[in-house]
Amino acid sequence: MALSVDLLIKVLVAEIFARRNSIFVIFVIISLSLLTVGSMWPKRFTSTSLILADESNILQPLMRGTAEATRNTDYVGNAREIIFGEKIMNQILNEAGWLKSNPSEVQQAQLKKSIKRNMSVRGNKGSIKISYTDNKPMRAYITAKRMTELFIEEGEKSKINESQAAYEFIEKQVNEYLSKLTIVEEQLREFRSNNPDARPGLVTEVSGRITRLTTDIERTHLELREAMIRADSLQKQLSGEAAITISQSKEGQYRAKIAEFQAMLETLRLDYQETYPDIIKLKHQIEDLKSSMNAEIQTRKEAKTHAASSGTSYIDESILLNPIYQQLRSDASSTETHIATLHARMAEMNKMLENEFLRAKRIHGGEAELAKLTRDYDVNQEIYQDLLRRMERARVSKNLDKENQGLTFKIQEPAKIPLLPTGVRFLHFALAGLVLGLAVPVGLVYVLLQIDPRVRFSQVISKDLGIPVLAEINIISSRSDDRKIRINMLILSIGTLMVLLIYGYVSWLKFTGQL
Amino acid sequence: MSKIEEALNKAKQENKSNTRSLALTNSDKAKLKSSELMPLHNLDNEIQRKSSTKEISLMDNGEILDSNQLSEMKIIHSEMTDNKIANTYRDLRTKLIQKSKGKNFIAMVTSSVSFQDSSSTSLNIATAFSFDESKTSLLIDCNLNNPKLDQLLEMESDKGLTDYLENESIFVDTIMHKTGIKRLKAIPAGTSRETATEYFTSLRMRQLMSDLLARYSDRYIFLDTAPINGSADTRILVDLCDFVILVVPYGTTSKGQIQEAVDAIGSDKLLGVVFNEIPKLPVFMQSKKS
Repeated sequence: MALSVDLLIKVLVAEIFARRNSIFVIFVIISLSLLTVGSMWPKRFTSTSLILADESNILQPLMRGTAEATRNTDYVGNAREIIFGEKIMNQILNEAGWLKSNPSEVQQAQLKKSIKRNMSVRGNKGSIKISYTDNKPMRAYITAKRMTELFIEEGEKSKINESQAAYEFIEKQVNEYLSKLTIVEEQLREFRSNNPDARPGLVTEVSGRITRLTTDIERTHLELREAMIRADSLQKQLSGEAAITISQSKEGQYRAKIAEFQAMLETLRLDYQETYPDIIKLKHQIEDLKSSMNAEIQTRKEAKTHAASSGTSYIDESILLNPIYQQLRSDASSTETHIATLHARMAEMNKMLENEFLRAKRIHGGEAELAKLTRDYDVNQEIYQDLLRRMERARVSKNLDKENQGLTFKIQEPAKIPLLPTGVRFLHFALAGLVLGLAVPVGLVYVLLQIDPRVRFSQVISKDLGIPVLAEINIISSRSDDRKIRINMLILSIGTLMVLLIYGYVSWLKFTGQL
Repeated sequence: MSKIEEALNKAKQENKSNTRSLALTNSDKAKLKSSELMPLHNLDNEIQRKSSTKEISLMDNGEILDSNQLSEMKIIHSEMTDNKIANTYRDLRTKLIQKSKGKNFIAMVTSSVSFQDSSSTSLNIATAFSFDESKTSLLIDCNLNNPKLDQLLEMESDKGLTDYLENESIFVDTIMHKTGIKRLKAIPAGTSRETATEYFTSLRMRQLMSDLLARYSDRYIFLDTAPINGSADTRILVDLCDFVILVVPYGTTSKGQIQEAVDAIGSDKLLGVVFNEIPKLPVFMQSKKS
């Protein structure tokens, strides 16, 4: 059943009133015990300083690319490492007055541990906050102040050391590369003197020449073949077959003459007798011609056989005088000469080709070595140049740090002597005592009302169970009961007043510093 | 006296049966019908009543308790500092008379769980009836195992109900005691307390009830009984009475326990719940409320 807030509050108040004695006891216990705890609670004083890590100074844009100021991106982590380091811790112990009582080694270690526990180093990208908490305000202040100063000193020192180390390293590298470069240079020089024709592009040149020679040889070979065919053909024209042709022509002349005379004879026989003188004369002439022709045939045969036996071609005298024959002879002779020339050229070129091949073979080995040496030289030189540039930059960076121009730590807020204690204080305990002293018992009553299943509202009976409620009657109290309640209330009021008086007294003691 | 009571008394004098039926609703009719069937009411019709205000005024009340004594005994009286409580009881009286249609009745006052006490409530209801000069009330302590009435009324243990039921030679007048409150008499539990169940089922008990009811038409009878959950006596007594008032003290009874008591009583006899023992608000809040 949903109960109205009004009704709930009424019942809550009634319940609280009915249980006032137990509530008062709980109130007294809680408030006084918290007051006691509060008065005994140690005071804590915190002194804080704020350090700005200033990275953006005027030099940075000017020197960009040339010098690199030492960067510390994790300022807080670095700060923590420096501050909690043994060196600074020892200094702090000494300077903040921890060693006055001459603590033993073990005690010192414990002191350091407690200092570390009470020290807080926090911050973000650009700032570091160093705070120290102690129960003595002066000691908190001195510790925080010295810690900040030592941290800045140490930070600058380490920064300078860092850039110095960087410079030295690069310098060392430069020297190393310089010696390497010298060695390679020496090697290269030696190689050059041993291989005078070793120069870049030689391989290309030789191979070009070989190609050219091969082409020439091929062309010459073709030319030679052509010349030989020509010589052969000229020789054929000049040989016996030509002479025979010419000699046959003489025989033909004879045969033509005979035929002509034979025709004239036939014509005369038509008109005259055999005995006619012209006919007889013609007959004789024909006879002569025939014998001349036979003699001719005979001569040729002989000449042929003779020529065949001697190996030379038989050349008729008449032919020798022929201008065409002479022309042929001249051609044949020049062709012969040409062939001889070609042969000679061919031999020369083959020899040259062979030389070039040998040379090419020699060059290839040298080329590989040269490439290696050259490459080494190039690489070393490049690195050397680069390192040289870097070394100069490192030198500037080193000077930058030396002059405190890189990343600087500035104390934005110096540590102050804390006047008010931090954290949970007496006032908090005192207030919590009063508030909780009331809230806890009231809360308990409320919880009881919420979880107790027993009926406290007549509405539960009338609405949930559907039974009419005839009357709602309060507790009947007699006059003596009323009197008792009044006395009880008086006692409780006096008790509450007493608690408040105790509060006031303890606060006064606390305020005047007597407690 | 409330207006309703006046009207009812007036009506009673004119014509009892006619006015009664006029004022009834259907459900009331059904209830009335069932109650008329009961033996007590049959007797009621037969015996002529001796009813008169004069007779009541002549009643011997004995030594009357003053307001201080009543206050210490936690009994309501007209001079109470917190008269809200007395008025609540007066309202309750009016409601009961309304339910009974002006007739006198036997009402049982019980609680639900064993450790609870309905005695002071029953005493105060009876006292509220006795406020009215035209009415008397009789309170009978039927809680034989744990009688409280003697203590509450500071009476000496004297002959009571069990003695009457056991011994036929004892008259009703012998067990009826003065209480020190005007128009209120009481019958204590008695000295003998054995086999209670048998007493309440006896014919003599039944007769006693009908006699007491019938003798005066302005006498209202209240039975203070043991808590009904787990008490066989109380369940038997439910049959002998006209209706039952269930006392539920604040913050002591769960819903289940109330439901159990309601089931034991039965819905036709149960008149309703008196929710009491509500803790008082502090004085400053009371004044604000009033």
